[in-house]
Amino acid sequence: VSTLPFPPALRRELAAIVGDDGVLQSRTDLTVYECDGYTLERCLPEVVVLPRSTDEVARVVRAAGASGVPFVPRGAGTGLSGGCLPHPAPLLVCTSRMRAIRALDLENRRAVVEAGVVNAAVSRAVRASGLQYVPDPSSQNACTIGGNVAENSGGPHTLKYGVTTNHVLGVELVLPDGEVVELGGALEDTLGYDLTGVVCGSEGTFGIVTAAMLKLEPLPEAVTTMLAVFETVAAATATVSQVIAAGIVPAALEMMDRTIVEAVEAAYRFGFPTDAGAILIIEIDGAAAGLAALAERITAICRDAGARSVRIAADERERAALWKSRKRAFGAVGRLAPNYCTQDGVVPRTRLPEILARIEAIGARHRLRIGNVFHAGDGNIHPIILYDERDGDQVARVLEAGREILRACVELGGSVTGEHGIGVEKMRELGLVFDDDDLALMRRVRDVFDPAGRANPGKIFPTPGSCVEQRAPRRQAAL
Amino acid sequence: VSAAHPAADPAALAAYAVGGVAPAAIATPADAAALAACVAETAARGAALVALGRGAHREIGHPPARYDLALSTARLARVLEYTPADMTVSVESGVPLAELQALLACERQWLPLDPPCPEATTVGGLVAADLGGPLTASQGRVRDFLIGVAVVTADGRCGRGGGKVVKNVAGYDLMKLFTGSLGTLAVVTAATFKVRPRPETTRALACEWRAGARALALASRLATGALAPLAATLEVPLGGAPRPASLLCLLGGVAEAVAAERARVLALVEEEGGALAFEGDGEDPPARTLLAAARDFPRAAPGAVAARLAVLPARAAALAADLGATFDRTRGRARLDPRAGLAHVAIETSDPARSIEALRAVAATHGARLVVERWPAELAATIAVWSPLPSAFPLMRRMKAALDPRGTLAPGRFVGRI
Repeated sequence: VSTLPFPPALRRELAAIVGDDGVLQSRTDLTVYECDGYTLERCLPEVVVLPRSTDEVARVVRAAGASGVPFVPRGAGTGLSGGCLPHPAPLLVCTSRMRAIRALDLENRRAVVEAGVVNAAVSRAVRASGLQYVPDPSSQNACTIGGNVAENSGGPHTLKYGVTTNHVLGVELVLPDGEVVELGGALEDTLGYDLTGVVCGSEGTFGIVTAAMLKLEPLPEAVTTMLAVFETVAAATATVSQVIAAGIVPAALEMMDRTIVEAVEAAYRFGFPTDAGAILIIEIDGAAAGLAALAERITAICRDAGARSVRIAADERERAALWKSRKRAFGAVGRLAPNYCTQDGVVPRTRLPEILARIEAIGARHRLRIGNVFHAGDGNIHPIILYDERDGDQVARVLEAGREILRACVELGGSVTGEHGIGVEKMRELGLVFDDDDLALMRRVRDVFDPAGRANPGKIFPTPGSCVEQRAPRRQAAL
Repeated sequence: VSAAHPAADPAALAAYAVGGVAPAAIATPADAAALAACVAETAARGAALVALGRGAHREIGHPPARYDLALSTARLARVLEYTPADMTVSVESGVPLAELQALLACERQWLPLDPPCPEATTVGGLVAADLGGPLTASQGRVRDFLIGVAVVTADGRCGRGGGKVVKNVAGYDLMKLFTGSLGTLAVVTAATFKVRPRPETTRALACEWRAGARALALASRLATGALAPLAATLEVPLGGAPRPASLLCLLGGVAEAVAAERARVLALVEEEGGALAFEGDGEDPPARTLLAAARDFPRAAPGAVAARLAVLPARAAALAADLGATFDRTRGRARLDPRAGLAHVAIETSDPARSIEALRAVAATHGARLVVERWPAELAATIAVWSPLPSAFPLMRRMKAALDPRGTLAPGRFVGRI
């Protein structure tokens, strides 16, 4: 439980702002909010508030500020780096009740949506008009646009289309002092500093994003999704580089290794060969003319690289089943072990074979089973470390193996996170990619938005003197 | 280093003038560390500097409020890393864009950004001024390709954001902050971009109209329709110009897709009363000449006043029509990128102040934004280059104050004379 005292008067004030049904204070209610998708560390919040409007968010933030209580913004809590762990700030401000699509401008391909709108709901709202919101993280049926903006979320289709920041033209932001600012807007052209761009990926440390102006894209005229089966991980990763080297930019280029394929097949029965070393899901889209020829070229590249088989999804149903298997892979992993920890690192795509070999060695050294399901085309790896949280020694080995994998990513010229964020999980690892001057510069940027350190303190930046140990006493690990 | 050269000969200093203001000294540091030392020294003296690449785009922005040192990135001209199969490239900021593109072209890749005058545009200038061209609508902007940046901040320290990988959320996205900041927050010393394969086939089509109105009807359909050419830019004459309206369209992709799209574009053009005047491979000299002319329009078009207007794509054609009506007795030309919602105008006016106000009025009517890119020197003290000011302007001032508290970096140059 949080160490900061929570003023009783503030509890009453918050209830007055959002209504009694908008304040959660009982232990039962709060338990849901003790962590996000990163479950290695948990902490019960003191209070969760569920505002319904920007004005309520602003009043909540002002009231908290007047009492000197910092806050943590939260969407659906699907984050994977502990970004909305309510610690040390004891107050969670949850935007999940702000679900309005405020405006759709189909002609100009813009949507203004509130922070609590679920990612997939945006595409659903415009699909009949032939449009889509492209970023599609695997959690897209639960995660919210506010969370996507905070984390600058990715997904399988970022290879061709970019990540969240490439599709956000503006945000409505409640600053930590309660002021509401509009950053960016409907026009592509940036006017002044691109603060929208800096807010994307700031992990809730600049305030609370309450709405976003999104760019929509036309649905592609045609889509072809292919499944290539390889005997070895090495052959699959080599293929990734060859597809890219041939000047082809697929819409998505995803890989699953045998461990994951087995789990996914057991769960969803798509028809994956469970004896294969690895599979690639390759999706190309665009104009109908020429797409079949492109699929043939990719098939030839796969076969030259030793693919056992290459199969093209026969229809939309099969394509949807394939993507369901991929996007729910994390859920299927539950069959393999009581617990799992998803890592997120990036390497230059040509270094994929090397990083996967290193991951295998790290797993062997720590006696841990590690599966891989990831965005191969981006070089964005997601090793899934399987473990049992009841075994304290195993948990320690999981943490150490995760760190070793991230160090290996950095050694190969990559980064410690491609799409999950730093949160609490990787505060220490941030120092692997940035030196003190870099971090000082970032802190100065943060201070512009949040001079008093009220918005999601204790995240991203390593705090001197504490937090150095992952299981520091002030944060409760799931042991 | 290259210590600064104070009181060099006046002609040399004049060559570095920005907005009519000449510096007192020029420094041309050999590397980022030396550049940092120059910035630190300038800050320590309470002086001000403007960083320049080749200076091709220095008309953009207000004249500097103070300008003691011209800090040239000309010697920061190394390619740091290029692994074609990774589709990323890292270069120092003084590398000319044309040289970078030539390097990428050897591997059939490109950075799909096409600002005016790429030979005279450095990577640092590209980033600092957030430059683009006709490819913007289909390919995106600097912010979509810049994945890593190294800068020197106003206190003379080095800082970095991002990295060398195409997907990266470690730390704040400082690339966005510095892109388009016109050197007022930091001096960019190196940049890493994700790059793209060049389209397998490109085809350029030039079409002409005797009457501008029909061309604008086509513009309207291009702005919001299903066609997605690499670039589609219309040149429309304003009052007094004898030339007809024209469309330059660049198609790209696999051969079958290009052929299919070509047929659709030509059908649309015919429906709207235009005629095909030229067609050729997009990489052949005649097409390249046409593309270069469209790309260079904002810099090369004659006229005392030049400006850019940004508008919602669906309003682009109406905005252009309004420009035509407003300047029906003024010689000038406008170039319209309907899908991007951008119009560039160049006006040969005898009353620049009045023309600029007329432009501002047109912009206001259409909810557009106006950026005055060229104006006569006598307006320097009063002109508002960007209008209207963004509502988050106070936050932007705070950003400037936090990163450059002494006003060392290009003071007064940016939006609202930040």
